[in-house]
Amino acid sequence: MAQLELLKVAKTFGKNSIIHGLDLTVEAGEFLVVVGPSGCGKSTLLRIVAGLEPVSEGDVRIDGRSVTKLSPKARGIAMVFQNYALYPHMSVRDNISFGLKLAKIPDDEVSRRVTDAAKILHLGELLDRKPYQLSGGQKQRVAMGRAMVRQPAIFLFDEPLSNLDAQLRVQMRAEIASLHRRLRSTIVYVTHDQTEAMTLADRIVVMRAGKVEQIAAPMELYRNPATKFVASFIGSPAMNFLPVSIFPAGTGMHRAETIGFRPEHSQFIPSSGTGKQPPVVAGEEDAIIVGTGAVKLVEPLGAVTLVHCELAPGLDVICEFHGANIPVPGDEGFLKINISQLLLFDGEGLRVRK
Amino acid sequence: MRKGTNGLPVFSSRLLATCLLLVPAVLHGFPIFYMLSVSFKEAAEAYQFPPSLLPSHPVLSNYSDALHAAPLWQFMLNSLIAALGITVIQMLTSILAAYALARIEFKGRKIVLGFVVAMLMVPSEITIVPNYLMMVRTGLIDTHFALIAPFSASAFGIFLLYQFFSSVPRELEEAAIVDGASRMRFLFQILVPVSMPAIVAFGVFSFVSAWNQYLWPLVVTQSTAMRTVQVGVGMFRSEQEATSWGMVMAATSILVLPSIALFIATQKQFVRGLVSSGAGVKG
Amino acid sequence: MSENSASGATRSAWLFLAPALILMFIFTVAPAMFSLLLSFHDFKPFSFTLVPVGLDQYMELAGSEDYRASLMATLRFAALVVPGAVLGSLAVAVLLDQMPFFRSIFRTIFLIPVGISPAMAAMLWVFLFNPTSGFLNYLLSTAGIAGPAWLSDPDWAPFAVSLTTVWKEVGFNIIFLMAALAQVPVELQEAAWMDGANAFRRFWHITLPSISPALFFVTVVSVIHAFESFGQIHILTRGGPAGSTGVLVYQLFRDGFENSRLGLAAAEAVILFVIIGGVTLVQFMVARYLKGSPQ
Repeated sequence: MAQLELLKVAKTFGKNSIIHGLDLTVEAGEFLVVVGPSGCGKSTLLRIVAGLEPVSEGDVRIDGRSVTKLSPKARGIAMVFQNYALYPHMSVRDNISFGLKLAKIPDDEVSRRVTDAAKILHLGELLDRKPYQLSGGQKQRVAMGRAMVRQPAIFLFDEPLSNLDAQLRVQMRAEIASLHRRLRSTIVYVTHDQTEAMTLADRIVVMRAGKVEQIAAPMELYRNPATKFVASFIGSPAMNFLPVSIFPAGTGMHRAETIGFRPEHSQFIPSSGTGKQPPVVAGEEDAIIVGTGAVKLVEPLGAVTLVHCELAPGLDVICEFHGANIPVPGDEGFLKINISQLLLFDGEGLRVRK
Repeated sequence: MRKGTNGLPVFSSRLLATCLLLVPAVLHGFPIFYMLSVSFKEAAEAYQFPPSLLPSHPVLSNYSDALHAAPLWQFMLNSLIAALGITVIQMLTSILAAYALARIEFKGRKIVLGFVVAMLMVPSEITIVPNYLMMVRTGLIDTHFALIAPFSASAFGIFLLYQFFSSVPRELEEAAIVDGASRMRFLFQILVPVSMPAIVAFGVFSFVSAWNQYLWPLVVTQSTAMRTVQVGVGMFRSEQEATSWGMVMAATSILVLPSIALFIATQKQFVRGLVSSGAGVKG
Repeated sequence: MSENSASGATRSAWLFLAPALILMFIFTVAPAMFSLLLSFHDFKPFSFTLVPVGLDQYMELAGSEDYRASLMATLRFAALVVPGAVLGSLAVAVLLDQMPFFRSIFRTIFLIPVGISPAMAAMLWVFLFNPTSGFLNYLLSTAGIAGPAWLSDPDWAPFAVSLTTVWKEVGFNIIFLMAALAQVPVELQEAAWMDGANAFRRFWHITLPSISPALFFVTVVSVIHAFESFGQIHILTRGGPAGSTGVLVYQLFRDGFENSRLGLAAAEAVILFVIIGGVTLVQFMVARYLKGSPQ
């Protein structure tokens, strides 16, 4: 495991700037996830670290040594690709050992490493099969095995789970996490799925349009997003955003333009039909009624029920419902929000501290 | 065509088609059949009129006569050397060039690609005379080199493999690079095995085309010992009335047999190569 | 990529391309250009010298009766071969599309002549054409027709050579047309059938238009093959009798390699190149145009 540093790394294709002067340090043994929407430059960044893409500016260092001019092989990295990229004409065993043989590692060492990897990744029975005989999840594990046996300084993952179905994804996430715990390797993992980021990462880098929006541990990103983009990207279901005009005057929020709050900090309270506001509940002094809306969609998820309601034309909000009688679309109700959990954002989308 | 409820053609139309096809098929296959038949006929029977369909007393003498009349094995050997040489060099040079065009981003790539496509449209007649002069000048006329060299690069091969290589995902090469493979190693240890169907199709097509060449071997070989099968068989064509047709047919049978056998064995690949040669470009 | 610079990539690329490009340059590009040069010179074979003659050789060809006869022979040959090869292959392809029994055997039978050379095809037919003991005339005699001297009668030699050529080339066309026929949407056919159209009308209004790109392609290829024919003519008729089958390539061969007039042959080659190159270019462009149009 090694430390990775990116110093003022930038990448341009012709006139397009894909990555703007980026600085990043990944500590040895850290699981770093780079997350962001398509086109944000995260894959390009990973390929730059791998050495598959040259930098336009800046330096890449591994354990303090500059590798910017080195080939991927010389950098001591290994990569797991989105489409597995297994060699179709070779057996699983040959796929895994290909890189080792190229490095002229002695045969007994090669087979030892292959056997170990196969054991960890449950590939034992598949060693003599060809890739076309494997399922998606198995192929991905072979790809991981191929990377693992090279005992790289840094592991790179390029959206490895995006081609798997939902259930398999959950399973593989757990396997990758346990692999990290076991090997204690430095991992840089790219994905567009914020759930993967949140569950796997020690720290997350949120990227947008070639720039870093924020780098922080998952819960820190969740609780303290630096920008509106980060706030909207992290967390599922997504954060709600309301223009500050919705809020009653005097609540001290008018330095901001947009107010964000998470569904779990809000409630839908069905109107009793009398037009009167629901009473203040003990222990909820921080909560205020922001307005009324009609229910558009109800999602009973079991542990929690989510209600999508329309506060104003075009202004939809997702909030939670606690109660026995689950509302149906069309019902009217009040939206109650916990003020202390509000996040304020200015016109540029930057966080305004209270 | 009328289809039954399961989407397949109705039995009666299949039967009708079969019967209708018998006539052209028989006519089409007849020359080869007749060649064989005549090759086993005794000398006199060969030109009796009306001609018989089958020999009444089959003999093998025509075959031994043919083998004595001309060095047939030598012809086949020459054709083999020439065709193999052409095929192997074409495959090698095409694989290398197609790889560069398909997988390397370099300045001038589009120009080279355009050049290759332009080469596809150049008919061989325009190069015959100068190539011939070159062989005479260098004293290489009447050699295997002369048979092979001018055809050792194939724009068709480059283009065909370029299209195929382009369809292989980029990630595969990147995985190989990360594994530490050089370009050459990736090309020959991974890309070529993965592209085997296209390469074999091209190889078969290339071999058969080389084997069947006529004008160039005619022009560039002078001694009987260097003649190829195609030119050699022409030696049996004589204007005289008293030709021993039995022997001529026997010689032809011997010399055409490798082509037919090879063709039947590699039909699928040959057709694939044939179709690629036609798709959108000069056949 | 495995080079860390664009120039490294360029260098690698040219290394990979070098063998093929060098060979193509030496044996295709340079000769083609030299042919052009040669066409403007009289080449003296013994001394290997070039005597510039400007356009004289082209003028000679323009005025030459032999050359004009050769052009006519080529056109006549193409006019005989192309319809035969295209229509014949269309008929067979349509029948094969009906999924007859023994389909792959039939296909092999039609395809084998494609795999043998023009020279072999000629050798197979040369005896069949024999006026006295040939099977072709025997067949005709059973129908009461006296068959001609196929290869020695100037009126019939072109037919003989065309027949051999069609026999050899029909398989190639059949493959393409079969593929095109297989792609005609079945629903169109069925809809037409339900509308009461009989087989002929279905064929004329639906099948033919659908396969017209393939038909066009096959026609052009047949034309180009016709212009480039040599082997079978050399063996069957040696360009005779009386030049009736002396097509352009044959004329080139005779002028260049039998009469050693290499400069003249070069001029003929240039003209042939323009003709064939032109036809190929047209084909290429039309094929591209057709690919862009909806099927």
